[in-house]
Amino acid sequence: MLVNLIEHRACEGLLSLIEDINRTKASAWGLAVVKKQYIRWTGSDAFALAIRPALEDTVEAKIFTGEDGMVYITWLGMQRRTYQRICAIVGTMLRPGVTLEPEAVVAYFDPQVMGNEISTLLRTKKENQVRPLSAEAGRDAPAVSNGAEHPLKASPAQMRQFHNALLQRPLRKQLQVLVVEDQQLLRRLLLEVLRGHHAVDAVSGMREGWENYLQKAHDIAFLDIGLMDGDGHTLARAIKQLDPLAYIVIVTAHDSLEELEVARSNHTDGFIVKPYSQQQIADCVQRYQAARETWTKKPSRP
Amino acid sequence: MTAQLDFTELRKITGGDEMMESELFQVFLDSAQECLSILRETYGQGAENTWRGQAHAFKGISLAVGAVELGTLCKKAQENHLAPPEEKKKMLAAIEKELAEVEHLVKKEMH
Repeated sequence: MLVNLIEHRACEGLLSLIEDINRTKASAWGLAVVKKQYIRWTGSDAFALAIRPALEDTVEAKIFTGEDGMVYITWLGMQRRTYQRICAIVGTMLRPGVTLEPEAVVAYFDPQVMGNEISTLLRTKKENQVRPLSAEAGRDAPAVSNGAEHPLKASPAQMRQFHNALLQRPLRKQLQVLVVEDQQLLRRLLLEVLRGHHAVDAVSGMREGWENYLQKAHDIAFLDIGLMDGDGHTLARAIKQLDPLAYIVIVTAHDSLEELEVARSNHTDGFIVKPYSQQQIADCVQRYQAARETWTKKPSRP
Repeated sequence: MTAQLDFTELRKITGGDEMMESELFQVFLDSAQECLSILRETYGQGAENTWRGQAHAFKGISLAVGAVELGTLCKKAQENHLAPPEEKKKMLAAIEKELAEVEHLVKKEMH
């Protein structure tokens, strides 16, 4: 692993990231943006030293500190695990009593989305012409989100709350689970299966589910497809676009291949056909816990 | 036809808690009646999507309480949502009959 600490204009760093992505033709790049004002900032070297353990399993990584009050961390490989580690470390560096604003720590994994975001950042800075990402970048691997439009939006206040919850997620002692199911009986059954071991929020509608997720950034979300005010696929897509690390399981009585394909294209993490057994739900939770352990595992030192 | 009920999975969830089971059965019966009344209202109106949606919901709750045969009839109704009203009427009659039997068995369990 190679970590470069580069102290220069942020736009140069971002442009070099575009070049890196084009050069490696890899889709496994991650970009995290941290606002300096929310953390105890004692200089670039100290920050790099603190964040370094999060980057140990990456192929290469760079930290750019810009004059714009942002720190940009880019890395290749181990996207999820690295992001979790960055969040966990940044979570310990927050200033006391700080209220996080949107985009305090944001991660981008999809090269296309990342390219668009970088373009926006650069346009904002009005310092450079933007070069587009090469078409080959990330072609082989699926993006985190399929990028399709969805009607679910979040206000700045909701985004603040979401980012706050997101930072707390790796540190929680108890899993937060969201159940979105419009049938009272099925909602109640799922609640009974999960209750006792986890903190569960059970709601009946898509919008209610969305608002709940923005509040708590749940560890796992079980989503039914057919909902009164929308559908679980749309909700899954919205959540994955906002939070690529979200763990979403579709729970449905629709057993068609088409539904499975849509779920796949939204990069959901599980698909359970009703009637489900208690064991199937327990297995899902276990798979999530195993995955989380991998993302957050402390790297072994030689 | 004798209704088939398999409470195995439900009992794993309730852990044999009779009060909880009664509550869940009551929720099932209420929801089933709701679904049934919408199916009754829509079978002759050409409201195919509503019919399909309700049959789908009905299937989900039936299978959840272990009413396998009822779930199968609802699945058939869901898949044949474009069928003419006369056929839907027959499907509806079969569902009503099966639900009556299931209700009888469920109420026996509740007492």
